[in-house]
Amino acid sequence: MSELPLSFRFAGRELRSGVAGFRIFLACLALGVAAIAAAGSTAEAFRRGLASEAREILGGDLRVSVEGRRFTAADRARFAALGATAYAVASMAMAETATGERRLVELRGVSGSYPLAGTVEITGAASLAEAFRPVGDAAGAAVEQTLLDRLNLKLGDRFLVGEAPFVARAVLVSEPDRLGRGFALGPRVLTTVEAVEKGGFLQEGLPDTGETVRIALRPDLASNASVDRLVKGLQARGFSARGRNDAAAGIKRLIDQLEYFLGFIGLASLVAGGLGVAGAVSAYLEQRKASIAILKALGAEAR
Amino acid sequence: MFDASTTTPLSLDAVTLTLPSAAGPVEILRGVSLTVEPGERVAVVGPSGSGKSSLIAVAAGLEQPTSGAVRLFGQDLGRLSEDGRAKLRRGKVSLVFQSFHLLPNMTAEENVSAPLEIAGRSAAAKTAREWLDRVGLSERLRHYPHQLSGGEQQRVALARALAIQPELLFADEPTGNLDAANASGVADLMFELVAETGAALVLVTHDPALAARADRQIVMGGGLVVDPA
Ligand SMILES: Nc1ncnc2c1ncn2[C@@H]1O[C@H](COP(=O)(O)OP(=O)(O)OP(=O)(O)O)[C@@H](O)[C@H]1O
Ligand SMILES: [Mg+2]
Repeated sequence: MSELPLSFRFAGRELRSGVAGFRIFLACLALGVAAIAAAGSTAEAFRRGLASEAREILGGDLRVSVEGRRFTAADRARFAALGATAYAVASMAMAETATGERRLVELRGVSGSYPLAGTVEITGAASLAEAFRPVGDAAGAAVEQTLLDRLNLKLGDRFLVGEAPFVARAVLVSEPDRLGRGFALGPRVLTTVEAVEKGGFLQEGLPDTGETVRIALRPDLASNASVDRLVKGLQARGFSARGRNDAAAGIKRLIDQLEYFLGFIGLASLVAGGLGVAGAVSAYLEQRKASIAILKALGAEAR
Repeated sequence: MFDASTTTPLSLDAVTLTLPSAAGPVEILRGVSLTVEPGERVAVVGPSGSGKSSLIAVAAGLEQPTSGAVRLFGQDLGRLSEDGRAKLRRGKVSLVFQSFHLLPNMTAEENVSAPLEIAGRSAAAKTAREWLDRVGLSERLRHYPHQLSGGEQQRVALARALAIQPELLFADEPTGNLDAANASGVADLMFELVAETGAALVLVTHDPALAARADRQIVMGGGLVVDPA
């Protein structure tokens, strides 16, 4: 120690307590930087995931829907000209068992070509077609496990949705386009369009009535630019339409908000850390200034 | 370079000090002349705000006078840089401040050895320990200033000032912050050690009994020496 030059010896003594005060603020800075970096990369990962799954999330290249009515024959002809189509209708309805258990469900009917993108995961039946096969007067349906639990049903049991009889033939595990459809109020009952029609859920003028078609475009229409053009054209005709390029707009907004939020937290801790460091530095320099003045009074030169 | 027994340690010639303040310039010293001979002990008394601490700051070269000349050991401080003045103080001039001014991140021992190390004295740590022993703090060598009482800090400051055996010691109310028992202990020690080393002493004090122990008293008032007029 005594071999060191004077200035180093004194600097070493001076630093003894100086650095400790910075640590918490340095940690704050590190946290802020990490949070901002993490916000960016997490959001980016989500976005990449979304982009690669966009077609599945939407259920096809295009999704077109109407509210308050069904598609007309002319509509259907126009869609058929664009590529493969899969129709779906949905309604909120009350499910009830013979023992009187009741539960609000989302009754969804799909056409035979569903799904155009991705796969529907079910257990208890080999295929959707098998799950939808009627038993007597009851239509076949794939239902979520939560509904089975709630209504005390097992596969093969009958239940009513509204007035219409159904039989639970499969457990619905996942639908590829689940994410793109947004929030559901109740467990889903997946069946055929015809079964939903027969149940009387789709009468003209009912607020619930509406129909959605998902379209897998012909190869010559499948470019991004063409998707966007088709979406614009359909919107101009009064349809609500969405292309695979903006599959899950709500989710994208959510990711954006998540990114802002995480970034904001990071920024806040950066600001807190920065203010802290500034405070600690100025307090330290203030103390150093006093120490330097004392050392000068003791005869030390500046350099 | 100098002969300590014949070179006048301190002389002030018509020194003024005017400092800027929010309310305009303040005339703090308004023409002070003073000579301190080798080994002489001068007490500076006067009401609060009369400029005693300012006089010491200027005399020790910590503050530059606005006009007039300050000579330390015959050297005109006005001709020296800040570093030059520090170099001139080194090993020859010590200060005991009204509020101790110990180095907060250094132990008692390091505080005392600091000026010794700066002056390049050998066995600085050993000398520091001896002086801390003399002021009754041999049990407090490794304590930091904030771990010491006011009286103990002032004794460390005194040990630090005396350990280099200065030729000139400035002491600004060295007992002002201490209780009566501590105050007389520190005062006794200071006069004893000054007598032993033959240092000249400029002592600012409010305590008439302490001032009476000096060879000579000057009374400050309103930035001037009012007695002897
Ligand atoms: N940096 C400064 N700027 C402006 N005015 C100052 C400054 N330092 C001291 N003064 C003023 O100079 C005057 C003399 O101050 P000084 O500290 O020398 O008095 P003092 O005689 O030591 O007083 P005390 O007995 O209270 O220690 C005071 O009126 C003070 O307010
Ligand atoms: Mg004072």
